Amino acid sequence: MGRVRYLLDQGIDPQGMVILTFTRKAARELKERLEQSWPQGVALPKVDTIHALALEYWTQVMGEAPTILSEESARKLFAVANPQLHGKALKLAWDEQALARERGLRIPNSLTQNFLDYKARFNLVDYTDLLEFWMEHVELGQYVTTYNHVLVDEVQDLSLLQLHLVTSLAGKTGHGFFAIGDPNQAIYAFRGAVHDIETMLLQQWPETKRIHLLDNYRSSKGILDLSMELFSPRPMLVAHVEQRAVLALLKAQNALQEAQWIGTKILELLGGTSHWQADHGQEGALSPGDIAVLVRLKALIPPLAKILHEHGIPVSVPEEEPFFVDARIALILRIANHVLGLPDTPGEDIPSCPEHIVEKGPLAMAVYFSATPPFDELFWKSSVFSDLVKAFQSFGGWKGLMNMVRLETDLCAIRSKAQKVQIMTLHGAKGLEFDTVFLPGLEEGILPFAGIDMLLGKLAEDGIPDMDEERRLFYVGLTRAKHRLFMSHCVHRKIFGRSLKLGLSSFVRQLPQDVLQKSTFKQHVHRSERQLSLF
Amino acid sequence: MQNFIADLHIHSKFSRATSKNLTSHNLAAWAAVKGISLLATGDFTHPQWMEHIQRELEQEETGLLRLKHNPHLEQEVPWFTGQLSAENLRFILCTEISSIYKKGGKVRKIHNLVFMPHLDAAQRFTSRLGAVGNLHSDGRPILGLDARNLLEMVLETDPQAFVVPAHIWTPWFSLFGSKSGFDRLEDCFEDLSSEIFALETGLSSDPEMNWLWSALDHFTLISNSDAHSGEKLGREANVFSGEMSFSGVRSALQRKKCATNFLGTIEFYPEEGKYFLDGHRKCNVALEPLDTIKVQGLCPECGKQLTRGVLSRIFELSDRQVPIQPENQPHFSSLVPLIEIVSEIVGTGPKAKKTLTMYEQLLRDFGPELDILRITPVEELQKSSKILAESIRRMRQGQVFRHSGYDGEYGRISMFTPQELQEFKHGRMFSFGKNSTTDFGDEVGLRWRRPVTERDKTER
Ligand SMILES: [Zn+2]
Ligand SMILES: [Zn+2]
Repeated sequence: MGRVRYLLDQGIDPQGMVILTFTRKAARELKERLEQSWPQGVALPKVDTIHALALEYWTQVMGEAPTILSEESARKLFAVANPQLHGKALKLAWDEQALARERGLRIPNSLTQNFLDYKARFNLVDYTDLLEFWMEHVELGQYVTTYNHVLVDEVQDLSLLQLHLVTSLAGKTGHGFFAIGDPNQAIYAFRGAVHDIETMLLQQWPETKRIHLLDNYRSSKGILDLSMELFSPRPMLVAHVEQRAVLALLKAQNALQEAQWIGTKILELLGGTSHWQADHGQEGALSPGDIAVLVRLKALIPPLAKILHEHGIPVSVPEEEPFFVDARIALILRIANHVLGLPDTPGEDIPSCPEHIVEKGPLAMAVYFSATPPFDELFWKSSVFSDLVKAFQSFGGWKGLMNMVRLETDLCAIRSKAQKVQIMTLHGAKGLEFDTVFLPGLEEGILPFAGIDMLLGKLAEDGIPDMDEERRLFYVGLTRAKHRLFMSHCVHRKIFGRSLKLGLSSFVRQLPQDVLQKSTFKQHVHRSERQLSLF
Repeated sequence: MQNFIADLHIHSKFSRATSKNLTSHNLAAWAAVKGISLLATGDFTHPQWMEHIQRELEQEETGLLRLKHNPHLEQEVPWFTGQLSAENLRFILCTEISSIYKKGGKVRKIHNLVFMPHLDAAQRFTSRLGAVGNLHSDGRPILGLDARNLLEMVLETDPQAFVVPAHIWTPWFSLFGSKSGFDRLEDCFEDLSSEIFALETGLSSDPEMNWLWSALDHFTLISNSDAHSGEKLGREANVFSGEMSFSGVRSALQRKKCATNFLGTIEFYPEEGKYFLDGHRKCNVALEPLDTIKVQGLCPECGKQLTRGVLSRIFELSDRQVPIQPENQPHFSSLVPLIEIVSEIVGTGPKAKKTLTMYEQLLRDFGPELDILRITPVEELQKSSKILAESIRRMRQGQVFRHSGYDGEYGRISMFTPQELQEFKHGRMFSFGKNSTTDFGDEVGLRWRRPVTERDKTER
């Protein structure tokens, strides 16, 4: 933000600037913040993820957008391309070659080659292909950067491939390259993030100026001081937010208690949601969007969301994309629309299909298209396609199905308009900030995560997560908070169908305990309903 | 033309902190007790309440609903021995939505009333709103939805549907509330501002207070009970004349010429609210807004910051020194609930048996409560009780003692001085029918209503 303002004040044309964020969410947020203080009549600089830019480049070169495989489909295709692999071996092979590609090896082994051939046959690409394609064009000199200023956020989590790409966007000299990152927030090593990005950059451009940002303008002093205790040597960040921090730690007997405590606290922070709550002097002044509940594992989200819902709190959880967002499903819908002459038919060239086949439905179309690109045999077995078949049946044909899609699309738009308390994973919260953060589930084994096998009581075959990375992940969670931090853990917790008794996380034990406001739910607490006065 | 009384903002048993016997029959019984002919359904976005509505009510061509069967309502109000009928009662589909969101860097908490012209429209609206948030846990759902976007959704649902911002001066939860509201209606509803044509003044303000601000001149000011239990129905309400229909009510609120007319509101005394004036409770200090300015907002006794009241908030935004009744704005009448009047006379609490017995007798002798308070001739009432008749006469003429609330201290309205009541108790009759000797105008909390010149006189 500051850098962009500075460049603008220096008279730099924002058209020549590009700002790369790690997630689309962060990009959206940054854009909103820029818009608020942006001078009227001046175009905003480009703000997006490297993947989104790569897609844009591909589309521009090829004349049309590619069919992108979701991670799930890519894995499946990889399996089909390499039929000799099964189970753990398959998973390992996938991870290994995916990592290698992120490290810049285009075709690390024959397995990747088989995968590539398959993708080529059906005209499909995965996300890494987009980056590789762009990188190749850069190397061949077919792409010449148009940006004078490349600003990179969260640089510590870039893979080598991504790093090469962003540095080449800045041109040979690296003039105008500006990257910001925090090595203590590196949490993507498992996806091939470069270990010591600073050294790499200095090697490439020895003149790179290193600025140590010791000033923190996000978190209250209390939160920052607390978080830094996780590392030795302790970082020397200086907080510039004087407001007193709230640092709380709850010990609950079970997850239900924990969730109810969170719900009650949130209602207080929202200043009550009805007249009587405000009358009782609970005068918070937060809006739902100021609050986040961050967890280590996705499995912790649904039970939390349910309880908060019951408290009447607007909450959002990360949602699965509906099946019709998938590129090839969308194509099938367009074909059906076109052939049947239903409304909303765009006038573009799409594969033709005889009317009587379309009328019979998606299964008939599957037989007809079979392995015609961009379709492949695997696609017809994908979960999105089976969702389409189900929807076709339950909505009584194309017309009903299309109406449902239109309605759902409309609802998605409405949903995105509402502000809510966000429940998400620590990984998903990267680059975001909230006034108040809840960190439930702080139990040894959950954070630091000991691996699913371990929690299931099996021999750990899935590899033990890196403790340092887990620590940084906790640090990321703590530092998402500006003013209030509510940590909690349970004596008993049911997860993955097992009832576990995990102790308090060693990371929390490592924090200075005297600054934490601690509270404990006793066993068998008798909860008396508060008598509400009638308004 | 027939007049009818409408209470357009109530809640069902599915809202938080409401009476658990708030069903359509219970509402109908109390509507009959009070003399209300048009009642909001309340809470129509709540799935179970909607189920209840569909089971018990039927849609009419007028866009309103009525009870399907003519039920025995007597059991709903067990202490009442007379007859109650829901024959002429109609319901209008209405729900209240609580929006909590951030806009312009501030947290906003705003309540809005949504009116729907048909069951189908209400259900369409509910199914779309369900995408925004959870409608199950509260009859008045709390959503992170910008009020402007809410209005847009309402307008998209049906061209007849409309929104009325609720209790606009409540500090915490309203359009102009001091804690989390806006300073201008346009800041809230933006490009859709012109779609708002009525505002609910709420218990904390009466039309006269709103007449201080010329920006509100072109809105119809309505009043409703916001009742969370049957006995509170109609404590504020609206008087219409002519045809009872959805489009009639809508057009009347838009002040269009049509078969229905809006005649004005029935008001609670806003002075009873616990944050009416500015003040400091510990020091027994209550001040009117203009006096607060003179002391720079500090308590003259101890120097601490005064707690600002609703009136002060209105003065902050308004552009007039004195309320001016705009042309075309109907008048209003301020009433005190009959049970409180009786309670004062009898000298027992509003829930006491003695109070209730007299209340019940009055209802059986003279009809619905709002008729007794507004219409029944004083001479008629005298036949039943002289002091009650005097009490109601004083109330109708505005000759009441207003002890304004401030800094969390509830205000109080009384018809008699303690001395008068004492005299009455001892069988002596005081000067009925004449204006009381007490000068009501001197009370703090009343001066702002009078012209500036007169105000200056009292100050000198
Ligand atoms: Zn309300
Ligand atoms: Zn004082």
